Amino acid sequence: MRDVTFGRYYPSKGPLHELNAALKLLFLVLYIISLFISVSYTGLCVCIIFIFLCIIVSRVPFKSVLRSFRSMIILAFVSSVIVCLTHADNGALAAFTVFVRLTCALCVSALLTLTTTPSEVADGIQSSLSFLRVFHIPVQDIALSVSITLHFIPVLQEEAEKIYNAQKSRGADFSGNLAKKASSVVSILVPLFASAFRRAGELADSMESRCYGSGPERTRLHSAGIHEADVLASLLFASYFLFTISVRLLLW
Amino acid sequence: MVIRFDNVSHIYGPGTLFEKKALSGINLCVEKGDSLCICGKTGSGKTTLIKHINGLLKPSSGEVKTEGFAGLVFQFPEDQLFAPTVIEDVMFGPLNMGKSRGEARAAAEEALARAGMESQFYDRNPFTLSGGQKRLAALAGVLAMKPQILVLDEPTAGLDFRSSASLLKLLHHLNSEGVTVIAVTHEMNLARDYFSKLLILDSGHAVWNGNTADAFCAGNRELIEHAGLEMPQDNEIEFLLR
Ligand SMILES: Nc1ncnc2c1ncn2[C@@H]1O[C@H](COP(=O)(O)OP(=O)(O)O)[C@@H](O)[C@H]1O
Ligand SMILES: [Mg+2]
Repeated sequence: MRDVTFGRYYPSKGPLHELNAALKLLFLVLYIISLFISVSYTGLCVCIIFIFLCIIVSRVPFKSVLRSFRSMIILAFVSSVIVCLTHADNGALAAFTVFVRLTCALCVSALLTLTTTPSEVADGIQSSLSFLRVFHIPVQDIALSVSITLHFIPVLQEEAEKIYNAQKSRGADFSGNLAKKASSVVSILVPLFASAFRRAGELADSMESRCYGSGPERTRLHSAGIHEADVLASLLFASYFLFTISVRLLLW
Repeated sequence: MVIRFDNVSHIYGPGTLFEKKALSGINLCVEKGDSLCICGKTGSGKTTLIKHINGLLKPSSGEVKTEGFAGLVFQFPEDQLFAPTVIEDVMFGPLNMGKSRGEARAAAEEALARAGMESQFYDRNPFTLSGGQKRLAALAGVLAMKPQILVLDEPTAGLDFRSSASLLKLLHHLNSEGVTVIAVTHEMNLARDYFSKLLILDSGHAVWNGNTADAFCAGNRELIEHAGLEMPQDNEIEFLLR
């Protein structure tokens, strides 16, 4: 159960942890675009090498990155097999493309959450989307919702694990026939939802009792700012991005 | 002997930044019919230890042997009720053990009666019960499986005085009928009044393992206070007045 570590911060204090979160979000979007620009074996391999280098630099162990989306790799694999079978010509490349795009996109998202705390992510979203405020879109509230959601992923994971242990101790069977399995899964989902709703209610009460939303705009304890490392990282990333574009243009 | 721990250590998340040694070199022997209390402050490894008894956790090194079925009642077990009615929830365990619905219902009714819940509650939705009643229902859910060993994690946490007293009385009864009872707590008065054996954990090490009667001598004061616990008080008010 604890293997599902998607959204869990890994405090290894690598250089990626120090970067400005808004910038990292921008990199994430651009990286995913670069995955879709690349259509050849060469191009896709460049994307793979880049994400590998990022993981090495981040000092997050490969195991932790992989573990955070292990279950979804199967999905990527199945879809690439389907693509391979349905494509008449060059099915191998098509399958490879689908597989690499899906796993690298998962990988980069996992890397973002492993190297960025939920509140940094929220601040990053807020500052990169703040221009939307001209259109009266409540960017701050959206950012807070995202941050709370990210905060709650590990909390709910822990809760799910507790309930799983309790029901397993009562003989719940997660591998037997379908009927038994179904009742075992229900025995976890019902208390999990009950506790999620209870927590959400408690959180809302405690925010309200501290006057959330009634004052002027919230200020921040730590402001992110742009540092030398951010400039360097932007240069590096820009060269990667231009490189993938030129691979596409020159090699097809 | 029904439970035996041989030099058991447990490490969470080995090889990651979250690596944590929660148990180190625990040796423990529990005889049939014993009543054992496991004491220690928060984070000392009590829950980790009891999860080894029914195999939810495997030791990182060392060996655990358990004879017979061990029923575990976790902390705040009321959070794990899920069925639409109390009786259905209590029947979940016996049904999982392969009992027929009739047998399971009989076992559930007996367990609920033992836990002190009257038949008017059988068809109630567990989410509508009070906190204390929910805990009794959850306890019945484990009792219905007729465990030879009953393990409870902080059974009295958050209960009022009367509910704790009746819960402890129930444990005492079960114990006198031959059920081996193991409970986790950090309240030393409970340990002294209701359990004959005592294990004190301090940062994953067993610093005391023996008869409760011998544990609270003046010579052990330092050890107990180092473990973050308090010597039991004869009378709380008397103590406060002093
Ligand atoms: N699933 C887990 N993963 C990592 N560390 C854990 C886990 N469960 C407990 N720990 C750590 O192991 C230590 C002992 O925990 P626990 O057995 O729950 O203590 P207690 O029940 O005495 O409060 C604590 O430091 C806790 O943080
Ligand atoms: Mg505990």
